[in-house]
Amino acid sequence: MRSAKSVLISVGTYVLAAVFAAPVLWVAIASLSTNSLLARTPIPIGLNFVNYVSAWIDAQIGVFVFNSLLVSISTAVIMTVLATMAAYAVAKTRLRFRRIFLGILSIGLVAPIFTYIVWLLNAIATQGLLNNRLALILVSSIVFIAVPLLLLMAFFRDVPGELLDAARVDGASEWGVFWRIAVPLARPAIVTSLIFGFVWTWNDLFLPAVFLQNPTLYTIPQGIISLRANAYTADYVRTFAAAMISTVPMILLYRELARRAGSAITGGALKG
Amino acid sequence: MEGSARLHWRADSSHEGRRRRLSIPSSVFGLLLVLPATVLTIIVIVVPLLSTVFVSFSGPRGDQITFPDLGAFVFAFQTPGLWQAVANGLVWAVIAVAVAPTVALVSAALVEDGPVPGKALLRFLFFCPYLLSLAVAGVIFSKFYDPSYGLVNQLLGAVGLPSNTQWLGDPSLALGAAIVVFLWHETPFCFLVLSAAIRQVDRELYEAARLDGAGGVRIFFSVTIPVVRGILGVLAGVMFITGMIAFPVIFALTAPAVGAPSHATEILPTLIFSQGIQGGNTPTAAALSVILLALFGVLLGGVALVRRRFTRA
Repeated sequence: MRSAKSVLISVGTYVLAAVFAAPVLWVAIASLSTNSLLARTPIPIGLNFVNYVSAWIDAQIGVFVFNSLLVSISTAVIMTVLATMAAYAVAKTRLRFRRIFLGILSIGLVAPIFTYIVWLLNAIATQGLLNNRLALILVSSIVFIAVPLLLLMAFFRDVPGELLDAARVDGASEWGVFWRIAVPLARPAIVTSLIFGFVWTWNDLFLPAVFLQNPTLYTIPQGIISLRANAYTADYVRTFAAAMISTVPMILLYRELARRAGSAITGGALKG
Repeated sequence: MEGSARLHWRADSSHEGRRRRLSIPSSVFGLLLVLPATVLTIIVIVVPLLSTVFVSFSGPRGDQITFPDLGAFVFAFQTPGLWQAVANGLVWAVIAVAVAPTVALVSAALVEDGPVPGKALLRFLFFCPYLLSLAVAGVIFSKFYDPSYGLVNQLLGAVGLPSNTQWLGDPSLALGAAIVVFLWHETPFCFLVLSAAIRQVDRELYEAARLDGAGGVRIFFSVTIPVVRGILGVLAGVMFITGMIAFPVIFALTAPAVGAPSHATEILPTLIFSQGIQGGNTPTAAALSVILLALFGVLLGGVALVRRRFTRA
């Protein structure tokens, strides 16, 4: 009796999981199919790895991957460096007006990008910074900074002040206290910030779409959307192959994402 | 403890002899550390935000000296599809809050606490949609929804149902079709967070409940839910905010006619995009931005008030 119930629960759970996984698995299958097969059958099984070659070279996904890696890694690093410094300053130094600084730095939590994009774009355009990747990287670093900042602050708050004071008494400079004691203790939060900074920018469409209008600079979501935009020359299987390529970093980071997702969204406000 | 002692020793030895020259007050050091991020935030967010608010009150062309001039708002409120955009955003957000965390919580509880084999595999299956970005998920589903070649109509045809539905072309269906993409993509994110949270619950809690004779459903309501309540609240907030501004889905499904058909998938960000970025109509877009900001302010303020009520009671 009990085991019959268990079987039923298991089947139900797998059916539910299939609802979420099936479209991705189908895209994986279709990415190896042909367009004519796709039009004829719902299960287009094939082994045409040429779609991946065509996506990588003809559809320039290789270029987009390179662009995305450049933008995402730079953004993750710059955002994390800025956030680590600011979080330590607010949490552990005798900074004055810290509430004001914290308010400015976490403004992104209440003002989504769409509320200031028009003017930001104006400013970027008048400075001649459209199609400038460094500008995009700096803007992205700031737009995504609020949650990692809160997470790092939560970590620095847990560092006992006596530990830092002991180092000061022993003659360590303020920089030494920060760099050699506080930063190593906040390492889990720093790694989380790097990983999520990378993932957020890897997946971000809006900022690149607004700032990078030159197709040779497109990031991968932009590139895949541009494949879709030519509806009349639509090469479905190639688009699916491109989509599968875009998942590779996410697959590689899956374990870390699963482990760190909780603290990444709550900014360390809730443990667990 | 051992680790901190070692660090302590390193800090001590490496700065021996330089302590005088490098000593600056903690407050100055803090200022130096906080300034780069602060200055950039002021340039990237604060100034554009204030400028947007200022321009929105500077008349229909954004150049009126008699401040405040509400001309831009007059135009903004006449923007075709404005009310639909506001309503769509709210509907989207409410559905996102109601569905994504709930489905994710039930799934996570089944996987983590249920008598189910293959937990690692199940976790990955539930995570699958999140491998794609929201925008790429939109592109994939735009193919699924294609009226003549799309998978959805193919499957409907295979079981003998009407197979010529214009999922994205029919104004009465397009919003629902777009929200489905969003839910499909965001529920796995909630799952990821909740399954990690459930796994961190002390197993002894479950054992104790089981010894007291509690069944799976009882444990779900009286152990799992109380433990993850805080996380659920955060997820609900995240889903509400991302649901209100789910631009990438709509962009991927409807570009270049963002918000089509006939404003059925319009939300405030798509209006800001088509007015301000595609159309170059800065004052109207600025006024729309302020409307979005005000909506956010009211809703977030309301949530904060309600929460304070609850925590005090």
